[in-house]
Amino acid sequence: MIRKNKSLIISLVIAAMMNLIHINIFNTDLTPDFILLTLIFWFFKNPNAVSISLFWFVGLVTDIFSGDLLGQYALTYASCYFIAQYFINKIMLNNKHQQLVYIFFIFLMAQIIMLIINVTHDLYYPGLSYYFQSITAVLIWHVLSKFKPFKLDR
Amino acid sequence: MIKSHQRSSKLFNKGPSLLSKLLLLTLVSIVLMGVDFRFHYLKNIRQTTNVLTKPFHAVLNLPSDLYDFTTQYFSNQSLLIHENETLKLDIDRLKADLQRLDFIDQENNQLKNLLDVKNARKFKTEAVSIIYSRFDPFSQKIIIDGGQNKNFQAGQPVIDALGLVGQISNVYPETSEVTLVIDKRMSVPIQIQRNGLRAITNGNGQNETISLSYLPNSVDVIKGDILKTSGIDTIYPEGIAVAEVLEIYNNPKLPFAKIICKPISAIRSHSHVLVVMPVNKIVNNLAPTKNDQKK
Repeated sequence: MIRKNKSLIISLVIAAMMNLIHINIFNTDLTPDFILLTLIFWFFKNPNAVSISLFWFVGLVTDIFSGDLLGQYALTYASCYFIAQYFINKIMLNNKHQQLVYIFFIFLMAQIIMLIINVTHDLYYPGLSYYFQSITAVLIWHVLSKFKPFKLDR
Repeated sequence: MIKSHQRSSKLFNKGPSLLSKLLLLTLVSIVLMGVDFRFHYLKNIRQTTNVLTKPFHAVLNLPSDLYDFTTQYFSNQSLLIHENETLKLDIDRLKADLQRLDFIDQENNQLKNLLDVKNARKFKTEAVSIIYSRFDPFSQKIIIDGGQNKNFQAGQPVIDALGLVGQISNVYPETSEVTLVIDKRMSVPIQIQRNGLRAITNGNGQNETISLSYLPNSVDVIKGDILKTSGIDTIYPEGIAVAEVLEIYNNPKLPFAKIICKPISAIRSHSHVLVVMPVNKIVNNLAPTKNDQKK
């Protein structure tokens, strides 16, 4: 359990760094939120290692470092945990490609929650290209799931 | 062996249910957001956290810095000699231009003195490097190296060799946040170079364009017009190129023309920018923050 937690923390730190590094290399529209990707991955890899409060806390830390309002990532990540928990049986029982649909849905919900938060306080709609992030998140998930360390336990 | 997804069994379920936890956390988040929206305390927290994250950025920029260094180190000598020659020629040409410019500047000031017009503000620039850009599809911001330690102030314009990049919106101990001209909260007073028409730009956010607001359908703007800062706002020095008109849509049903412009400065592709340091008194107008930009 401790070993799992250690790798969880290390992977989150790496994800946070990837969130910072990516902008100089890729387009902002396309890169997903790597922290959320990592959290969701750990949720399906080992559901007992993470909890809704951990998701919320990681979101709060993300807010402090890169958010626009304190609490927006916290709310998004906590809601994602709830949605993921709702889908966990469906994801565990379905095959790989059906899984991807649910993963896409989780990321899309995260984006929509973020969009609602921003639209309510800012009245700004970023356009359709905003949703590309969910698609790239799923693609990254699909590519990485082919490698052994990223395979979900069955 | 107990499988992980069987843990939601009611028999072993202790503590509040997931839904009540979610509702509680949502409530806490909404309260935090509301308070932050009203009092902006995240800005103060970030004063300290930005100092903590700076070493990380240095580490993250290391690969690209290393790549730049090695490509420069191993670049062909003849290429360097050629580059050096062209640069020298450029310098000569620019020096000649500068002499002429000095003369024109002097003459202009004299004429303005004769006409009792206030002289144009002079400014120096300070070159800084871009550390990273914020991961946020809702705002277009970059972080530059240098903040309170270089006496930067919120409100200072940021330019590059081609034109206006943006404006400093937050200053931290060692870094500053620059809102780009394409950010939707950013407005710049401009003047069209061809006919002197004054207008105000508005950023369009992600699609990297700028639009001109509140101009009637009959306005004299043509494709390819260059927009330059007008200088009447006392924030931006006059004559800095901002954008070039890309498209004009005249819809008689709408009260105003829709004019789309492309920023002139290479907003996404440079690694260094220049912060304009006014020689005259630093203006006290802050950059647009979130709340005072409600239209």
